[in-house]
Amino acid sequence: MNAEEQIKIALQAIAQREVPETTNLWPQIVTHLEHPERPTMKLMPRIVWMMVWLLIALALISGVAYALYNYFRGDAGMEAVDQAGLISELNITAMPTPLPTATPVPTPVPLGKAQTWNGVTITLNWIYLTEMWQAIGFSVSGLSESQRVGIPSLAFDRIQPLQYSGAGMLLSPAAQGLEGRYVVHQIVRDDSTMAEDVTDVNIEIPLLAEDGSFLTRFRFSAPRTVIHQLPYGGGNTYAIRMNGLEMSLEWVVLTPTETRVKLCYELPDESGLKIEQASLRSAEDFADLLSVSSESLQRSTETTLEGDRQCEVLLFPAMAPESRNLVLSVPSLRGADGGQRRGPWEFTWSEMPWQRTVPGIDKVGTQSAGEVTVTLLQAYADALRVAVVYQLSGTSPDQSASLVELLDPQGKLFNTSQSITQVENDPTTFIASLSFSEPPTQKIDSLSLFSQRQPVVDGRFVGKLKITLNPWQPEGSQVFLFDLDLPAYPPLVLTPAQSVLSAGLEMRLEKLEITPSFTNVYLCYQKPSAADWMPSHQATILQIGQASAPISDYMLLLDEDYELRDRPEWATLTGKVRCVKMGFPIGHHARPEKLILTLDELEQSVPEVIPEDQLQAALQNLRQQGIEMDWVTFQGNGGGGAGPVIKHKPEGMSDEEVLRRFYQALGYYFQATWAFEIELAP
Amino acid sequence: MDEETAIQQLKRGDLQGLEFLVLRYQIKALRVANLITRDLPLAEDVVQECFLRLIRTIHTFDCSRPFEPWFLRSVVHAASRAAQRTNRYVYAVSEAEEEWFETLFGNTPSAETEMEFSEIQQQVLDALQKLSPRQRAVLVQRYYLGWSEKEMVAELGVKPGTVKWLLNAARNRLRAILMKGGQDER
Repeated sequence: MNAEEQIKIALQAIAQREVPETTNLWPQIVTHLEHPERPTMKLMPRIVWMMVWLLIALALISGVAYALYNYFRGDAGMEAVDQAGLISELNITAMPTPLPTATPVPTPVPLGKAQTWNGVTITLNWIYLTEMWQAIGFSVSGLSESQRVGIPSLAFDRIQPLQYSGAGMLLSPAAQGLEGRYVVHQIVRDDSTMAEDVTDVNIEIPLLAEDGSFLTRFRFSAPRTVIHQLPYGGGNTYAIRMNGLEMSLEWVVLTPTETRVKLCYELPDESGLKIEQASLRSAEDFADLLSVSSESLQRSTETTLEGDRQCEVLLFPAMAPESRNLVLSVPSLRGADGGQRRGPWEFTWSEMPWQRTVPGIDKVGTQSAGEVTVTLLQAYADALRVAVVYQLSGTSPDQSASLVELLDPQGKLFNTSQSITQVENDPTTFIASLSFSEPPTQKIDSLSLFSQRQPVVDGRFVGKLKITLNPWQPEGSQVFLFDLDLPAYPPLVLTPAQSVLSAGLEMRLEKLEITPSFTNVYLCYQKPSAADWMPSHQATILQIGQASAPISDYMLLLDEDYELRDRPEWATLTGKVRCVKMGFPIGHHARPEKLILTLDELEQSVPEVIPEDQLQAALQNLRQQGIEMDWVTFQGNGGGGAGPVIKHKPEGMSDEEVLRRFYQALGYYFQATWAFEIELAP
Repeated sequence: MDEETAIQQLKRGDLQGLEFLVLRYQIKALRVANLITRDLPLAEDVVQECFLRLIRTIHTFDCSRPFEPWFLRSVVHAASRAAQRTNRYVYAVSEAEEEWFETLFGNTPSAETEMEFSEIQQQVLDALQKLSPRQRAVLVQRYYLGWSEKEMVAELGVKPGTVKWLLNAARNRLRAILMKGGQDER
């Protein structure tokens, strides 16, 4: 028996001995599923994170931060119903609705414990734990110029933190010495005590000499500390894989005199590689990051091996105290022998330590409960959507990020797709459009949250409008509830079953639901292959009379390749087909007119992970077109994702065109034209 | 129910599909995570986490490919990360520990002749404890899951040289130990 065989057999034996065949995790998984308020991977942070990246990408690509609209301008359906006088003038105001008592505003545990060593005193003032991030506040006095505070560590009784995703520490001048705040992003949850989330915490704050060596550790304990559960939206990049090498930003320390960051990366097979250059940009507003000049790396102070990763602490000049965003960029790694691994690895932080508001410690701006007012100016409802216009006062428009939801009279959520736009020249006024979707039939997304009722009954929408300001900051969010009772216009329903054959594929317009403001199109079609082929968002247009609109909602209803086998009763196209529902924000105008639906392309959805061989072939294809780009995967403290980094493109070519060519090279487009015409006579 | 049906059920949000996949793969997943984390409660957390994450990621799974390696890849990755997060500063092997590795089997007779195999297991177990999570992960992929280096390259998304480097770094310690018995090893 050779050594490798011995290892194999030993591993098998160890595995079998330590994990018996009778182990069953299913009951614990069911428990998780039955407590959707305690999910292990929260969907919302991921969505928020992806939205943040989308906004950043849009801002970067277009250079335009905001798109402003007049009331309903740009929404052909709502313009039409507005002109037809179908919108209700409301002018109802609401003050913030008190949050349910079941979710009291949690406060930090005050501690005020002090320790002194050789004239240096550290006082741990408070600790605050949430499932997704944990924070401590402390003050330091007696620190000499050759001493500095190291990164604190938090150890929890019975709990192993999971998914560490970066930490930040801020040391700012105070009346006596420094005030410190440390925030670490990791999951801390005690599944053994479902009813009572408390833990003992041991905190260590190291004191370091100038060369980074330990002088001493200040140790504190915080027994029986509550772990709060709060909604959470991440805003910082933790790890990026680029050119096959993952680099992570482990922590950032900001002091009045310097900025230190710690970066770790897998040790590549090329020996001796180190960070050669790095730059740091910081600004109060994210948009300003584009214009500020960057601070260059002063020096790399420490290089350590931590397991199979190499870590470097980089030193930069102090950041301005008002900085709220930073971008750290590492263009490449270089070896002593001249070898190079190209990046760039670029980390974006939009959540500095002092921006993570700790209730009871931080004042939440000017948003005291009595100051903010929401006025509902107008509302409209039909069988397919509700639109409202609302105005904010008593709050800064830049703090007015909102979540708008529709509830049934019992307070359960209607499943809707929402879009919110700001009115041109009036930053305090917003338009929210909410189109109805079927309630989730899945048990995995908190089914009990969603209403199973039809939103429109007997020609009326009766329910509640819920507007939440700053929904992702629970300590700063404010909820406004309005009762709505609106006339709701019924849909015109047609079943044309009109077929068009193009490029050998048959497509059938099976059904239409048309209200004055919105149209649902039900379509069945043969796919080019078994993949996820859907009508292109760019190349699918619905025209009714003079108005036209692209797709705003899409839902997959039937596809055997995806095990969706329940054939809708309206589907007449037989064989192996896909059926979808598409929503368009235009409606009929209560007069005879022509409806034209044109599809010029099918497109495949982009998978989270593009197989490496396909990716490399596509990138090679782009190189032949004079385009250099990479496809980067990243991980942040609110989730992960992937996206393009365009390094070179032919002059005059837009980023959108580069992306289109990339997807084209991957074979994600199928071009053919299907056009349908229907005469409407409502 | 077969596996394909279970996956399609889960893609539709039917939890019966998840139950089938949990019952089929939980033991293997847990053993993989446990070998990497060396912490059974943490491994259970990791595997639960991976199954729960499946609910949201299953739509990205290409049904034309085998499910097991796709899923176990996420388990290996999650277990490595969890182990790194919880033991971030302990796996830099000290000089004394290196010496311990060298001498651990130095006086050990041939496994086939005199040593009880359970002793080898214990020594491999002790040695595993001293490796970094990443090194344990590559050992588990190569020797427990039986993946080829080529498969590991594909799964890890790194260059072949990196996998070789990782494997060598992990294997050298164990191999050096086990070769002391004079056995042939490539």
